[in-house]
Amino acid sequence: MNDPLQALLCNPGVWRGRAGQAVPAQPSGYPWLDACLPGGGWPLGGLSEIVLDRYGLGELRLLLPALRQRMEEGGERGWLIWIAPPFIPYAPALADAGIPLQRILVVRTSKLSEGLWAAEQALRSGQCAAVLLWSDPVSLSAMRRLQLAAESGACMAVLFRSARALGEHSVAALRLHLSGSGLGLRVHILKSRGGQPVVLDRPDFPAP
Amino acid sequence: MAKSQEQSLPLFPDEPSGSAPAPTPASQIPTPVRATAKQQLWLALRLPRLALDIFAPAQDVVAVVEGEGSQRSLVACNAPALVSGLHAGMGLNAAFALAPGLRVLERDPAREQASLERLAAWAGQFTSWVSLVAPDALLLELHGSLRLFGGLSALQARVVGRLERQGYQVQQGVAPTPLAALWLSRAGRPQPPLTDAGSLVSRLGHLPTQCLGWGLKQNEQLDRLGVRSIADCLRLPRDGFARRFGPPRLQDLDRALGRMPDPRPGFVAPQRFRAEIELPAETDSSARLLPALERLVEEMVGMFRACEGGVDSLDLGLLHCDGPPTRISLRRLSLTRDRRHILSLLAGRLERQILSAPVLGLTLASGMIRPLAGPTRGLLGDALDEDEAAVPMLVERLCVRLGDAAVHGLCLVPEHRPEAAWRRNGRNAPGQGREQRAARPLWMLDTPLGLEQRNGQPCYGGPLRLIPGPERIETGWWDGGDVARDYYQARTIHGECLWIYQDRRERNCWYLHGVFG
Repeated sequence: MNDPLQALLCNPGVWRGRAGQAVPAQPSGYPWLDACLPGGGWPLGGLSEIVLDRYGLGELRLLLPALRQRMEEGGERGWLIWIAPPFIPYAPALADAGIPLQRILVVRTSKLSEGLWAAEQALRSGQCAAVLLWSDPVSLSAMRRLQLAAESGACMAVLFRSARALGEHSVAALRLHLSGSGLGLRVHILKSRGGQPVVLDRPDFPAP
Repeated sequence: MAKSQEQSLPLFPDEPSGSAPAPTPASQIPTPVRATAKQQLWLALRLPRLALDIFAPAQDVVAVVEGEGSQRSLVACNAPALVSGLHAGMGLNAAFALAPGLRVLERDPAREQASLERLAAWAGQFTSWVSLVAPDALLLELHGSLRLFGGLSALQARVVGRLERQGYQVQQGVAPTPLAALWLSRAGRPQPPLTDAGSLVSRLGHLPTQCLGWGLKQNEQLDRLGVRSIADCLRLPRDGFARRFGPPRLQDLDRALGRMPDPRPGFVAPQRFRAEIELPAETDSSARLLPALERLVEEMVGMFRACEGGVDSLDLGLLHCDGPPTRISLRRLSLTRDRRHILSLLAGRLERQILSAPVLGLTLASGMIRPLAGPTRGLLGDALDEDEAAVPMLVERLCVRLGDAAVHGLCLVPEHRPEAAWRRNGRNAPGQGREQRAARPLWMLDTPLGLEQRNGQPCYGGPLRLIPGPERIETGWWDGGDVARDYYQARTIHGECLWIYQDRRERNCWYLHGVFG
C-alpha cells in the first residue's frame, strides 16, 4: 500500500519542504546555530549573506571554527581569500584561532566591480576553502553571478553587507542579520533554503 | 624489356616512354641497398602560403608581392583574394584590375625564415627530431612519438590542426624517408600516409616530377625527355641519369627510396623565445590584437613544451608607426607554460592598456627558459593535460588585473608592538606559535583612530565600557618607534567589542586600534 506513496514521493516534482533535502554544509562549530541552519551548518556551494549593523559584533568569530576546519580539510586547495575587507585582517589573532596563515590571501580593490570580479575568479578557481567578500551595494545581477560562481565549487562563499541591504531582495542561499545590543549578539536568520526564519539571542556569545 | 628501356629513353628525348609504369626491381639499380639502422617515419609539413601567413590573418583582400618595377608579381594571396580571381604568379597590375581594393604586402624572406624557425621550435613538443628545410618546410620524425600521442593519425591531426588554428596553410606528407615525405607533401592533393618502406617505389612512382623540387630548368629538361613521373625517372639508366642531371639528383632518388642514408640535422631551439608579428592593418582596438597574440603565445608555449621549460617573465611590445613601442611586462610570474593562463594574463593587461597610437605589430619575448617538470599523470594513461592549475595562477590573474600591491598574504613577525607583529608578504618566522598573551582583535585599523573623550572617559558613538586589566605594551625604544600603551577591551552600547589603548606618554589620548570582529 505504501508503494504508490513512495513512488509519488520519489517524483522530483513533489516538493516536501525540509524533509529529504541533503544540503551540503559545513558545521559552524556552534551547536545553537547549526540547529537552525538547513544541513546543519554554513551552506557549501552557495552564497551566504551576512548583513551587519556594524563591525565588531563577532561576525568573524562566528565563522572562524568553520573556516579553520574547511582550510584543514582542503589542504593545498584550502585557501582563504579576503576580498576588500574593511580593516586589516590581523595575522596574530588569526594564528591564535588556528587559521593557517600561509594559505590566506587578501585582495584590496578600488572599485566594487573589481571586488566582484575577484570573488568570481576565486570561487571558480576551485582552490579555495572560503571566499569572504565585503561589498556594498551589490546589484541583484551581480549577486546572482556570485551565487552561480559559488554553486560551481564547493567552498564557503560569504558576502558581508551593511544593514541598508535589509530592504533588498536577495538570491543568497542563506541570509543572516547580525545586530548587537548591550544584551549581546542577536542572529536573525532571514532566509535559508529549506529552513525557517528564526531569531537567536546569544548574550553569552564567546567574548574575545 | 628493361634492357630496351635503358637504351631507348636517354637517347631519344622526344619519344614518350609509352609503357605502363611498372615497379622497378631492385636488381636494376646496382647500388647496394642499405637498410636504415632504425625505423623512421617522417612527417613533412609544407607551408605553401608562408609568405602570407607570417602576417596576422585579415578579412579583406590581401596579397604578398615581390619583384621590382613591372616585374612585381603576386607570391601568395588570401582566401578573399582567391575569390576575386587573383592567384600566385599574377602580375600586380592585373591583380589591381581584378581587385581594386587589394592591399599589398611586401614579401619578407628574413621574417619567413624566422617564422619557420619558430615553428620548428614549436614542433619540438611532438618529437625530439625536427629538421628545417628551407625555404618553407619542416620535417618531423614521428616514429618515436607514435605511442605517446596515440597513433599516427591522432598525432598528425594534432600537429596539423594546431598549425591551421594558428592560421597557417599546411600540406603534409608521411613517409619512411625524409625526401619521400617532402615529395608527397608537394603532390598537390592530400596523399594517404606511406608507412611501409616496401611500397616506397610504387607509391612515389605516381608522383609527377614537379614534386621533386629540382627547379624549373631541370623540370623542363625532364619533360623534354618525356619523363613525367618519378617512375619514369627510375626507369632511366643510372650512369646516364647522373651524367645528364648530376650525381646529387641521383642521390636524391636513392635517399628518397631509402637506398642511401639521409641524415638530417636536428633543429636546436634557442634559449629564449622572441617573435614579431605584423598586423595586416593598423588598429587601435586591443580586442583586434588578440588573434595575433594568440598565435604568438601558441608558438611560444609549444617551444616551452618542447624543452620542458617555462618562464617567469614576459615582454609584450606593441609597435607603432612612429614613436617607441608600448611595452607591457609581466614579471615574477610563477614558472609556467600554460597557454590559457599566459594568454589570459596578457589579454588582461592588454585590456587595461590605453593605446596611445594605432598598433602595427606585436613582439613577444620570453625571459630565460627554465626547466619545468610536466604534470604527473595517472598510471592508466589519463588524457594528455597540458594545463597545470594551481593557486599561483589565481594570484597572478588577480595581480595582473588589480596591480601587484592589491594582493598580499599574511604572516607573523615576532614583535610586541601590535602594528609590527604582522607583515604582508614573506615567510612566517620560525618557531612562531600561539603565545600566552591577551586576546588580539581580528580586525586591525591601518592607523589608530583618536577617540573623543567625555569626562576623561573614551567614547565611540557613546560611552565605552572598559573591561578591566590593561595589557601594557612598552617597547621599541631601540628603533625610534617606541610605544608605551595600555590596551583595553571595550564594549560599546551597541554591542561592538573594540580594542583601544591609552598612550601613557600623553595621558589623555585614547585611540581605537582594533575591532574584535
